[in-house]
Amino acid sequence: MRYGIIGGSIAGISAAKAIRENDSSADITVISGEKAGPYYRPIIPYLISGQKSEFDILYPEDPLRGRDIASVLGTAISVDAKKKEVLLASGARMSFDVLLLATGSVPLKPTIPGLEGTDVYPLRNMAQAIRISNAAKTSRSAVIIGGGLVGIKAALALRERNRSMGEGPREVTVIEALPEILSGRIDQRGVKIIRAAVEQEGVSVLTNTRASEIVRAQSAVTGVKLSTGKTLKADLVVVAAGVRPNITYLRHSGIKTNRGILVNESLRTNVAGIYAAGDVVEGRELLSNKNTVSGLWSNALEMGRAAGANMAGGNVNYPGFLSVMNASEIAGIPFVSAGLIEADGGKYKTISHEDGEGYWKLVLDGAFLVGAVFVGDLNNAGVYTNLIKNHIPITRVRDKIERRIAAYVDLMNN
Amino acid sequence: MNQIFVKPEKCMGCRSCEIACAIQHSKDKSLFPAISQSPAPMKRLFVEAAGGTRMPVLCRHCEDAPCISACISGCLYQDEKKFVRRKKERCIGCWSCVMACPFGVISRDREKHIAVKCDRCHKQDVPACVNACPTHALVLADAGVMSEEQRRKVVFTEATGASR
Repeated sequence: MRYGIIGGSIAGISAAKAIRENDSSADITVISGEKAGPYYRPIIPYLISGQKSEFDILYPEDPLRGRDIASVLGTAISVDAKKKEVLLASGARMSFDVLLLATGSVPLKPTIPGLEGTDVYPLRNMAQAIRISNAAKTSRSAVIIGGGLVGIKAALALRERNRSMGEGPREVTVIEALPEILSGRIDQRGVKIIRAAVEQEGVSVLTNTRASEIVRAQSAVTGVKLSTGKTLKADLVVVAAGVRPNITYLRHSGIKTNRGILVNESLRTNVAGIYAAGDVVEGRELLSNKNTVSGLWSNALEMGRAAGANMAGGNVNYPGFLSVMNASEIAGIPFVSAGLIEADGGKYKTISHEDGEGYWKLVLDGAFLVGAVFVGDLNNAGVYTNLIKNHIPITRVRDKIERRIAAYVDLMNN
Repeated sequence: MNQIFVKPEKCMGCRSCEIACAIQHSKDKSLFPAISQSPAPMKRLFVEAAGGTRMPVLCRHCEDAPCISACISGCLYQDEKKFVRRKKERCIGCWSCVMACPFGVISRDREKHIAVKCDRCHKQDVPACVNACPTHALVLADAGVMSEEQRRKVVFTEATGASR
């Protein structure tokens, strides 16, 4: 069997590994658009801060090489489902028996006059992070468009570079159109703690603010005009205004898409023999029961694994994912948020607590824990996220759960 | 003789395992220097009690480890003995593993800013916690042998009506 995989990041790699485990004689080819071998995409902001090198963020061992999986550098521009062929930008064609679409997502480009041109950088892959890192060396003031996780991490990375290497912008401003940063990643109380810490690190945060124009003198960026009328000085602009699934190459393929590629519970598309996994998928969010795009590393890994097993004849059910399952440390504040993090009364019960150690919040739906936020103290966080992720009813240990003192041994008595 | 098994019915909750673990992971690997070490050395297992059950909770070195799947920096890996270990220099302190471990046995080293977990005392035959347990609530055994013993116990109980 010839297996084709378009996309060489975590979904594609996990699928390739799963195929190899299930089919030792499989002929597997991974097409990747990135020159560097497989790397850990979530940590590309460390290239901007200078805390890690390109080499540091590569996989310690190439997971493809050790498994006899071929790797091709290229970009797919179309898929012919009938001929079972992928056409690459180079003109090369790759035929397949079974195909995985794991092309991830691409940065959204907001429509702002002056955005096209030098000094403006998206941040989604290693090459882009390196470009920002190089531009940062001589930058004095940077503006980040978008206050999501990527934008905030980029801003802090630029500050870190300035602090530890003595180069890079002294002024860093994040502008966010919504009323608060990190929208959907953490609850309103939690984000206040994090925002204060981000500002403490010297990052200016402007919410309810949009960029209305990128101001240029000849070609170079000199500032960013805001919706408030004010103009910020800037010589470096990072666009972190979200992403969209990378599906334009599927336009005439007959593969059904909406925002992302639509799949069934086997991660198969509407076309037999063609599967999809990772950020390119529009799948079922388990708590809301609505279709959405995930964007999480761990979900992409699980999807890739399930899709790979199914491509090789397995029967792994993948009912969906949780949109929120985040852990991070931002500006010195560690946090975990999982599941439903903001519930407005109704059938939900919300318990929260704040003290010198930090802040926590739990959301319950009857016998089920459906959401959790931990800021500061992450002790036993995994015990709680496991209850959410695996939909385990709470019975006898409810009291300890609700007081946030439950440990693994309590669940043995659940 | 590869896996650590816990027999909750034998655990007295004396925490000798916790102390031995912290000493093992201290600079000098002996009690007195460990006590005065600052910051204090960290234990990797936790004696917990609930509903009459007392037991040390420790890393299971899961075959399909959720912590490894969650790791976004390539720090956690399964070594040649199937122990789940860290490449310490790769840890960025993102706490994804802390979020993912259903046993709650990965903690944060606030000084070094890295995740801390059981390394199965991989350099020695018998892990410090097992060595320290006075009641053999922690035992090192082969999974096959252990399950055979469990089965024998069940059959014996069923056949004789004896209580465990």
